[in-house]
Amino acid sequence: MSERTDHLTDEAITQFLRTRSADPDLALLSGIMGTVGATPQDRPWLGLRPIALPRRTLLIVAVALLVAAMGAVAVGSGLLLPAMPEGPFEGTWVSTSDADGGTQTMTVRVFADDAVEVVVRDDVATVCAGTPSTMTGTGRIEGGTQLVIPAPVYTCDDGSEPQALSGPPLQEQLRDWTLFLDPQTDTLSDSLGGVWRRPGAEVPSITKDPLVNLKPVWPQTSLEEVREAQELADDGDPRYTWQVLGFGPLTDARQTDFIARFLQEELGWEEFDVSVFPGLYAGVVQDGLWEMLAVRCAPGQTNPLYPDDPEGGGCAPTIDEHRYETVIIGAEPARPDDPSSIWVVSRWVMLQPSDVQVTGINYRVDSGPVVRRQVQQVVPASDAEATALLAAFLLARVDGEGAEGYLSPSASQIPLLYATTSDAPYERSEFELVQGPVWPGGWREFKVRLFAAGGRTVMEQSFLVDRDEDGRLVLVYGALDPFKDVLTTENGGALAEPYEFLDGEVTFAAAPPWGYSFAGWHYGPFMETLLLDGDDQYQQRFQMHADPRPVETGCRPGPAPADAEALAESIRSDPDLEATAPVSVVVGGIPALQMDVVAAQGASVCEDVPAPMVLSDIDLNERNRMRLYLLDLPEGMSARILAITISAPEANFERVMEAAAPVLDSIEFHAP
Amino acid sequence: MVAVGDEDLVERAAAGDVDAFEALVAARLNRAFRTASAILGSEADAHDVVQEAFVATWRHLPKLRDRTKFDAWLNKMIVNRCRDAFRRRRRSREVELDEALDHPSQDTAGSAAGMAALSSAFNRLSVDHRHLLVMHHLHRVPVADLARELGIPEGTTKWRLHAARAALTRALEADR
Repeated sequence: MSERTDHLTDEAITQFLRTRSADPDLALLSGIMGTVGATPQDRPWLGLRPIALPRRTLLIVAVALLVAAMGAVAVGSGLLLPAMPEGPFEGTWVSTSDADGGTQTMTVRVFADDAVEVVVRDDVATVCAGTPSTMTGTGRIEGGTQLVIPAPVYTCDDGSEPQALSGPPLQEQLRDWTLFLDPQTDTLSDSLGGVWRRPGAEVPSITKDPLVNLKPVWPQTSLEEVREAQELADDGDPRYTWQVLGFGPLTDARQTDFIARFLQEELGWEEFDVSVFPGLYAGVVQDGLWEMLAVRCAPGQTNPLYPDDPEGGGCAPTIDEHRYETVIIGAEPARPDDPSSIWVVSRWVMLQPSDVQVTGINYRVDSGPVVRRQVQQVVPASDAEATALLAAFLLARVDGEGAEGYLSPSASQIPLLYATTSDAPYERSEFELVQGPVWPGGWREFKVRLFAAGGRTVMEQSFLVDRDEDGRLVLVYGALDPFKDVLTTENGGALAEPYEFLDGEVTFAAAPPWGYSFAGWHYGPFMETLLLDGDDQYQQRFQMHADPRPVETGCRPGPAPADAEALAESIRSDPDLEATAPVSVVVGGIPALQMDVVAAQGASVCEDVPAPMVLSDIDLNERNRMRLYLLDLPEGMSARILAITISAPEANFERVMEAAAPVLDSIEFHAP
Repeated sequence: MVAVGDEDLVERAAAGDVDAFEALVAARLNRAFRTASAILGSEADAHDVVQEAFVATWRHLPKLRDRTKFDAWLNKMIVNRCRDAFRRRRRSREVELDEALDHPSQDTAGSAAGMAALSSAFNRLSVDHRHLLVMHHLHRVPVADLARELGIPEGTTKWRLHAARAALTRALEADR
């Protein structure tokens, strides 16, 4: 029996992403469509054929004509302009977000020219010390789904002055009060966070009894059995505590045991594999439902297509040479959010045969019409097939054309396809098998070499032999080792990759193992590249920080410095740091101040970052050294001061500086 | 790929039909926003990114030659704008970015620290890695569909996904 143990990571990632992501507010659709309504489309054939007006535009034109006609009638007859038929804003609305116990009711009247009158009554207004209030205002519908009231007037019905609970004066807070319509739900949301529905409209409920929907199928088969089992598990009965799998990162042993018992006791499988591809299908928790894909392995048999594969070699298919009996299992806790809850299998599905080779798909037990098929292993390319493919591919590269036809669609990303970095054409080639075939996809990794300039330049790349959807063999630029960062070398050296900072105003090139880490905004634009080798790779940093600020007591950023020299002085005067005197150097053709910085003995550290700060958002670990370059950027650039820092543990510092030297040398400034 | 019924909506929207486009947006807004907010870790930025992406989609839709690629195209719009958001943030913030990004789980007792660590590690990933993890682990997009959307073979997609996970693991280890 073989199992994988990647459940923890799968579940943790999914749960994390669920907490990190959010649903849009109701106003977003309105905002998008409001902008769309006012945005013409780019048409490649503009002017060559008639432009089809959007339907809404036609409607607006029609309404405008109607209004014009009615206006003419009104003017002619001396009548008041009549209200238009009820529109999406028109009528009465009730706030669902009034937290003070009162009821807010809003009446909206829409007139013919999209002018609007709004009256909001609140029978318990906090800003009026709990007495009733009335807000009135006039405004206009914009883009069909947005209603703006530029200057609402808020009054307390008892004549007192309304008082804002916090922030600016109430009238200021209410300025340009805007209601956004969600036509799908017939709901309004306002710019102050209020939500409005029609009177009597159902407010979605989020409460439910979790057990009501539980349909246990194993090991308990009814809610009564589940309740009884839970009580006994709570009492520590070992007949049921094995079903307690916890939440968050599940423990592999319990999880594996749970699934193994299900497969053995319920399905009668002696051997199985629960991860057809490392880490990807081992199980996912979504909305409390934990899903797991498992394939059955023929007991005691060697897999004839992958006899030497460490994972699949012992997992021979049970249906025929390719196909595996495949089951998807859904399990869930009886008491959601309770880590002491027992888990039960609530559904499982034996998957159907497939017409195509399926090496692994993230199946869902409740995916409905989504095709769910048995896992099939791919017949790996034979040595002769792989050799023929690679030979033809390399011959085309030497010929200077036609190599793309052998590649996956990502071919455009392959560097040096027909020539070296110095544009020397290739003269000959060779290749060798590195690894494979790997179960169940049949992947083989090859290293190819192309020679140029009489053999003085050797370019080496990694490729995988893969099959596309049609079963055709293709070459993929990549390696079986997902940690392999360098896929192309020239004379043994990795190719430098371009980086840019400040929207391309600063550029540099860095070859792996330098790798991109982060770019974003701290107290100014910030970018970090890491030397990804050794045990301290995340401490081996090359950072750029635009307009950094000095650090004051309490780790707070100080005022913006006048120039690089002032910034250098503030660092030198920081008692938590020991900094060398600034030395004048040149970086990218611009004068710079260079200094080395270490943490002073007994330096105070910041609360969030357990290290002294050198600059706003640039910290310095007490065992690290930092080489700091401060530059006054030329006029016209989007920042005034640039800080470049290279830091590493003291023991690695010289090696990291050596690796950073070509990166520093490659820095260029491109003033707009 | 777009659903069969949606192909007509895409065609109509490309011809300038705002209502058809609104139907397309309404059906995709939640997912788009979840994608952007998960990648960026900021609802405010996700709001801007999604709005910009949909408006750009509307503007350029007539130039989309293969209408069946609408969803993949839209997704690329969103991811590219997430990339832009990282690159081009200009406005000042008084809080650290990481601080704004962290949303510790409220319902996973005992795992808030783990979530915070994951958040810190995730913030170190490239946009492409974040995108892959979001599509596969949040939206449950099967590898085969991801491969089609990215225009690369399944095998490549698997390895890229695996590499993204590996990067996340490395970042987690680095923060320990």
